[in-house]
Amino acid sequence: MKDGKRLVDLGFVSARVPAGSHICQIYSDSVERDHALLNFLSSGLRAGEKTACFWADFDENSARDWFAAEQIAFDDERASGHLSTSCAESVYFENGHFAPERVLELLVAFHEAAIHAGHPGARVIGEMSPRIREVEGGARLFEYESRVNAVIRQRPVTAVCQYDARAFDGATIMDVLSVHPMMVIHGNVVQNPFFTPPEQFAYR
Amino acid sequence: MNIDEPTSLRAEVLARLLLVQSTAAHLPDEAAIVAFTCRGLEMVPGVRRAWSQSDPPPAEPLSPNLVGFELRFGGTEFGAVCLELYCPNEFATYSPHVQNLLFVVALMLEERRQRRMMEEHQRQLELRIQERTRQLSEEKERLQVTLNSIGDGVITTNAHGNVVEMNPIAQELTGWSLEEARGRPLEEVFVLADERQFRTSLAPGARTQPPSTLEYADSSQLMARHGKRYAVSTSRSTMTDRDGTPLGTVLVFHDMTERLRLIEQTQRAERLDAIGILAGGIAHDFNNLLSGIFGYLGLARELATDNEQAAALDEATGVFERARELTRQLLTFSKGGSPVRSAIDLRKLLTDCSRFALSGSNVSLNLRIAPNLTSVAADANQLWRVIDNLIRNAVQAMPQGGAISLEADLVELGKPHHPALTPGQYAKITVKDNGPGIPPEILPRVFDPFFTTKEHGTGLGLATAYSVVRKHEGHIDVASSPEEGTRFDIYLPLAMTNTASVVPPKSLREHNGKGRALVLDDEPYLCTLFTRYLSRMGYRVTAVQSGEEAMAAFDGAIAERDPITVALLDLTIPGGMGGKEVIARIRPRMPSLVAIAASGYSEDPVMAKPADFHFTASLGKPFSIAELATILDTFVK
Repeated sequence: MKDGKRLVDLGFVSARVPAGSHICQIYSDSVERDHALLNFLSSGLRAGEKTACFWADFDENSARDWFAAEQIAFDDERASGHLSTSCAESVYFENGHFAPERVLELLVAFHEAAIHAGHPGARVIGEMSPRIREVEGGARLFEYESRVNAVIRQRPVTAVCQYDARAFDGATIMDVLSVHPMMVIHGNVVQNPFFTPPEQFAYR
Repeated sequence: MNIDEPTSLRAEVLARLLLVQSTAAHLPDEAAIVAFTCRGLEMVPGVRRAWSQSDPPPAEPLSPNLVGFELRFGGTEFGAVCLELYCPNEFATYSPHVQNLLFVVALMLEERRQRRMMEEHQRQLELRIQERTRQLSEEKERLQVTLNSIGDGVITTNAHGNVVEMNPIAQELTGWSLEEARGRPLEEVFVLADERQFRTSLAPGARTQPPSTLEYADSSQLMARHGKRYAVSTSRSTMTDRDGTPLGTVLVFHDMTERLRLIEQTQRAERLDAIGILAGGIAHDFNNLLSGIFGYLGLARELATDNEQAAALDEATGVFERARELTRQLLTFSKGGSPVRSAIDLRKLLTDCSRFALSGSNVSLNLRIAPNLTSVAADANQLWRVIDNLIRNAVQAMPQGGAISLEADLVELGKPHHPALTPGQYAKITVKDNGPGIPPEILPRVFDPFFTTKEHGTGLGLATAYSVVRKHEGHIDVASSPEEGTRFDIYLPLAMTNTASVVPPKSLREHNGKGRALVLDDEPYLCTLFTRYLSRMGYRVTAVQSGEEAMAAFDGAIAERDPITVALLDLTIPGGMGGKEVIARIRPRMPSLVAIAASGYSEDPVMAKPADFHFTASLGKPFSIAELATILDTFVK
């Protein structure tokens, strides 16, 4: 355990990571994406964590069936507030505008709600919409991702950001990597040598 | 796993390069890989900017701050990655590692190129498969439509002789549906009763030569699943692949039942026509002979003074009546005697005739006549004779009693039912019994003249019925089986051709005549007989044997101002002018001439309607002196 933080099981990789890790997953097909998403959520629910996901085109009925096979009552978990699911764009964009401050406040509020409800931790997994390149404020994506690192030092929410390699160009993917301290590659979670700490990011 | 902190800058840079290498492989396309790599290289110490280009790098560096790395794998060029350096010395440490990374990237690009080529090849292959599948589907559809459209039965089998495909005609004739038959041995589905079975199972690896792939059978009996039999002609061919290996067989069979039935009916009609001509000729001559015998018997009876002689002559006359009836039947059957049609009430005729024919029998009758069938154009006497004959035959077939069904319907024949029948409306009269039926070997001959199974039959009843119906331009069919009895179907056209009515018979009278009379008959003995008849009545008689002589006699009498007042004219004079032609010529000059048409063909239109042909009356040969006297007494003033 690093820095005395508890280690958490991400559900879709074998390694355990410190709670409050900010991880990037670059995927190239929806099966890979869904596998990570569902297992991340179910392992969080089993651990008693407050769990959230932002998905773009996920089939809710399929998810319900998947959770049922895992002995998890999808609707009950949602009704109790242990699990929340939202459309990614509705979380990231408000009135067609991307404001990192608002999303970060949501992150803080999510963690506070978890602590308040007595959860041992909180985790969130979200798919970044390719529309980020088009919406107002979309250029602040990397600033946002970098500031997430600062926020979760105080609010140890374990966060996985999913990026579709088919939807973003190679340079953007490299830039995405540079703001995530950890990344998932070939089914393993590794420390990202390209990571630029938030203090340095603003100066690049 | 615990994540350790980076140990040194060099190690960190190498880790970055390794991560670029690992992550790039995860990216979807070549452009993403190259862009990702370039952006990663910008994080290598000493590098300010990295970009890619499609051209290879220059052979010599343009400046110390600008280096290019070729992206090449094997013989394939992928352009180059160029780096702008802010510190060439710092970069020099990492240059070999960058070189290695870009070699791996080139390998990835080649792998992607190969993958894309394979994908394109796969896509092309799938397109070709789709196109070929579509063509095959269309071809199959066309073949199926063709198979379903042709009028022959078609069955295909696999190399083991098991049914693969059947068209609707084959299913109808065999009684097997495709679903039921598929996979079964052909011998089980296509069963021939009287021919050897086709050998349908082909030995694996067997080879066939094209000329021997066809087997024909012109006439076989197909036994359908439901028990019905069809006469079929069959042909079978073997399907082979390009190497001559048998794939299966194609069996094509044609239902010949209807065709054979029509051929049989045509042959029967031709045979009966030929017999009719022969019988007609014989009957005509025989009738003339009978006329002579009959006449002289009558004269002998009149001259007889002895009671015993008179009784013997009466007996002879009685026997003669039977001979005369036989001859009349023969003449009706023969080509002569065209029906004299009139609009007859079919309901009345069938009711009266059946009641008359069944009187005294222990057979019940079920009579049904369609309400829309009121009358038909037919010769009432002839049709009576036909129905009477059929009913009497049925009664005789059921000596222990039974039931006869007599039905009449109005039917529309849309297509040729028989070669002799044209499409149109017909009265269909059915006479059906529930007797033991006619044995199959006899059935084809029942209409033959003189063919009979009865001890005292003449063999002319059904032949006459057949002839009468034919002369009405109709058709008669027979079907028989031990289970269902015998059934005769008569088809009579409804079209009207004549509306004459039958002349009622008269009671016999005597006649005393005077003046001149003419007899025309080609038979000398009949000339003599009729001369004696008329002489006895008081006429002065001139007898001639040709039409030309008759005209000369008329002309001579007119010239002598002693005209002929009575003429007895034979209608048929072989090779010359007959009575019909003579009266047509002489009538305008002799409107008061009493002209009697005489003929053995009692059904000749002239005999039925003599006035239409300028005659005064008609007499069917043979006739007695009393019958002639009655006619003359009626018309001679």
